[in-house]
Amino acid sequence: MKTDRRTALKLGSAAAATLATGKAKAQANPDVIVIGAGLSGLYSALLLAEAGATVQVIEGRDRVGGRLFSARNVEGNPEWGGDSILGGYGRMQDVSANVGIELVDHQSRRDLSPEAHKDPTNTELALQGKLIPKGDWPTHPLNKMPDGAKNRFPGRGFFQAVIGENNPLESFEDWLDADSAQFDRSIYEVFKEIGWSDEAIALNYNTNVQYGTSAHDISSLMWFFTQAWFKLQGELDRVAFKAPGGNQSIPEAMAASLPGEVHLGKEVIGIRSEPGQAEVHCADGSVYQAKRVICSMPIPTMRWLKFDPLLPALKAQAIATVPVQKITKIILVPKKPFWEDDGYSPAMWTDTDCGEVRALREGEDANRITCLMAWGRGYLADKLDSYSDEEAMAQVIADYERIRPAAKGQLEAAGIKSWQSDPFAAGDWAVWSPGTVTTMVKALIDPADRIHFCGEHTATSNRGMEGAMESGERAAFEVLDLI
Amino acid sequence: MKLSRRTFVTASAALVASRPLHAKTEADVIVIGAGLSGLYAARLLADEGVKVVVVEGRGRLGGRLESYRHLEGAPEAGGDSILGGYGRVRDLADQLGLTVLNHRPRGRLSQTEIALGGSVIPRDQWSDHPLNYMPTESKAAFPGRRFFESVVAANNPLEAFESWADPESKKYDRSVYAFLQEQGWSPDTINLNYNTNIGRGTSAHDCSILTWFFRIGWDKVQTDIENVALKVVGGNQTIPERIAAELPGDVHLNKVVSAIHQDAAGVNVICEDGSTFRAKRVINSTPLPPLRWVNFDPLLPAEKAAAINMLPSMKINKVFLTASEPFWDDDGFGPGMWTDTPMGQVAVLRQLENSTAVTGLICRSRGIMAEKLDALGPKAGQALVISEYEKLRPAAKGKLKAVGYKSWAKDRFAGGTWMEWHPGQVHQFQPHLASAAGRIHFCGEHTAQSNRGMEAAAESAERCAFELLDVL
Repeated sequence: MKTDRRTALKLGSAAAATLATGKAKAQANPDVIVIGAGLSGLYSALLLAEAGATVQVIEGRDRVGGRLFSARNVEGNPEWGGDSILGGYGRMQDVSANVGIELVDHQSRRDLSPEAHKDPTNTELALQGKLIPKGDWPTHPLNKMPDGAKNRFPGRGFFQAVIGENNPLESFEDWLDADSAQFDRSIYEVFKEIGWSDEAIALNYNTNVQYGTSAHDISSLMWFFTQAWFKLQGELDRVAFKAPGGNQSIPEAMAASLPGEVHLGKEVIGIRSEPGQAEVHCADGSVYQAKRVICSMPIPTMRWLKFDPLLPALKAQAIATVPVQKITKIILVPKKPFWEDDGYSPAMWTDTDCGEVRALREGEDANRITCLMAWGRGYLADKLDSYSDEEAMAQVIADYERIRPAAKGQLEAAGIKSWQSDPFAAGDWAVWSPGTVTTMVKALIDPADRIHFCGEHTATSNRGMEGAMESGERAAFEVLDLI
Repeated sequence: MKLSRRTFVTASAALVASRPLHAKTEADVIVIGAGLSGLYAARLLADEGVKVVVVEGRGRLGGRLESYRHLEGAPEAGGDSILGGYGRVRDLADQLGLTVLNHRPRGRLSQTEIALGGSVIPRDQWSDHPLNYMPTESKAAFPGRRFFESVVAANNPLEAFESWADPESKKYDRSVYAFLQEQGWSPDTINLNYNTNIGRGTSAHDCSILTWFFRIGWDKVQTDIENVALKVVGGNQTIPERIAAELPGDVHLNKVVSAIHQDAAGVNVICEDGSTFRAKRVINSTPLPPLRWVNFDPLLPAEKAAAINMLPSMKINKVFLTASEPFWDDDGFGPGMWTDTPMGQVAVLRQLENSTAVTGLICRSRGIMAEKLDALGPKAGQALVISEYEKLRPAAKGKLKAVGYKSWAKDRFAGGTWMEWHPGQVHQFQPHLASAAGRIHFCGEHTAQSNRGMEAAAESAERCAFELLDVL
């Protein structure tokens, strides 16, 4: 017997595959298989279903929601993943209303416990293991702020304002234009041109790094886009909506409003395009067939898929090389408001293993702090990931207590989420390193044979949840034109 | 009181201490890291009468030499083979009175199977198999690294491998993918031969072919000198352990360095436990990833800091398996397999000194497959490896047990195995890796110029020790 390529590349386990194909064929194949029941996948499925297409959503995890994941074991369901629905998130707000979710604006609570970049007065600064009282900061020996900005709080709020003043894009949507390619270089170079010292860059950018792992490996174009886009969000409506029960409720309600059931526990291991149909192979041996496939998987998890035929060269390269943001979060629940003892805010911006600690007010009483969330980003996330969960939580608490003796024995870890250690995410959002905006964004979006792609990494005019929705919409229309 | 930068730094170190502050150790040199390079540098300096203190973050010696002594024959989780041209390491093993055993002939005792697309492909079917994407003239060749290397060797433009970092070599500092495309390879051929069980990097796109030009030339010299793959009886970790035992100065374990602060007269090395060591000079022998968490005051020079931030490390996970019975006698295939699964490449271990009996299997998962095991975590990762093996080899069902696991990327004192180079990075960063920054000197395999592996560690230690002898 001579085997052909198709039978040779079984993609999954042999016997099971044949069996499941038989079963699948007993029912009519859907028009479209959507891989991934996060926001982008579910939104594309909803739009396709509304347009009359038959859709089957399959999801590798045992839950829907992807990177919307609410910590439901903690009061007020703080978010491990996507956090705030901003003013310009039109699709998110519409869909939430359509599936019967009344969003709650948390902006006023955030103003009480602001992130460093919104109002520095309520976040403490702690460097090299020591809290620096606000009054001491302007003349402190560790203050490496640029001249003229010695009294500014370091970090994102500050450098984003500087980026705003130096943003060459007329409209943020221009970031993908050919003319913008000249800005597809490191943000380090931009800061140096503005006159910042290496110390100022290390303090403001590399500490609690927002995108990338240092100023060297992030494209300034990503920041020019992001800064202008954020500004627009605030201008449209200064809100930070959240779903009651946690943002995960939104994809859950979207899944429930689909005509068919989402199949959970279907880890995809390969996708084959053939004349007339596409096939999706799962680790459990099941095989799905449809006219078209929408793949909403995050970039790193696509690296483990077998594509038959191989994806086009540039697309394969983009999937192989575009990095994603590393984020590990730890939720700490205070036994008592220890900050009343030492008079400092529990929120801190540090260069220790606690990273950036935010104080969250998620309960009924909008004024009460319900928990603290420590964000480890970039290389700090790597460090936390190298520990066991228990060790990482203990390490963060120990560092917090060293800076704040009043917290001694008062913090209890309620959980940890490393997005890198999640095999269905393997990191957070896509990060554009210098040179990649120009070369890789389009490659990630382009369809390949019968496979279409969505997910926040394929959005062009939005970020975060709205980026996911935008991309789901684009993929759905792409497919509707073809079926 | 107005704090000066200097007093603040010292004061904060004291405040950070959760345990009582150690007495400051005054030494000529502090060596950070008790792996092969750090300890060898310490040995060379001590031989010259220099007072050296070694601080090590782990609770053990050896760094990336780690022998799994709980397993039969102490197989290596880290550095495995001492090759023919490893003059320094072989000499060192002699000086330390260690016995080495040549494992090279043992590697050829069983056949390695090809397993792709969910099945073992019998060797006699490989040439005509539909998943055979070998170039037309090489259909019968075994896919993967050896074949890829033969093509690199046939097209290696470097006359001497040492010239890899010369400015004239810059034109070769581009991706493996670009090079292979020029050889006429299709994306399928590249995917099969380079990306599967990847030798370096995570794909043909993110590895510089220049590092392969160096590697191939260097490999040839190793074999030309003597075609051996030596291993220390009792485990290669014995080498650093013996060096440490013979050192006159102290080796402090569990000292995780959190800050390195220089002043006009010396350097303070501040540890997470609050202890501080002080010396005239420091040798840092750690790999790059853990340095990303160290606070340097003053900052390292910009190019050096960028190199530390940007240069990647190779990801390798190893799963050690034992078989309750020789199931391979039942299905007639060799137990070793070259696969496209997260299990990676399975090699047969024969670790005993006086017998070539099979002592176990080792699965090496590399690049993105190592990332997959890391995302799953040790327990689920090992279970996946066993299930992948059983899927390919039903005869193995229920007979395999995972007895050891190592993820180098998740090891916080390593952050990966050896350092890698993205296309373009050799010329951007190579000149900045070995250079001293004030009173801090650097060794470790990533700073070597003419060697790889253990011999690179030893080479770099030698260079670094001489550098210090000049300035002390």
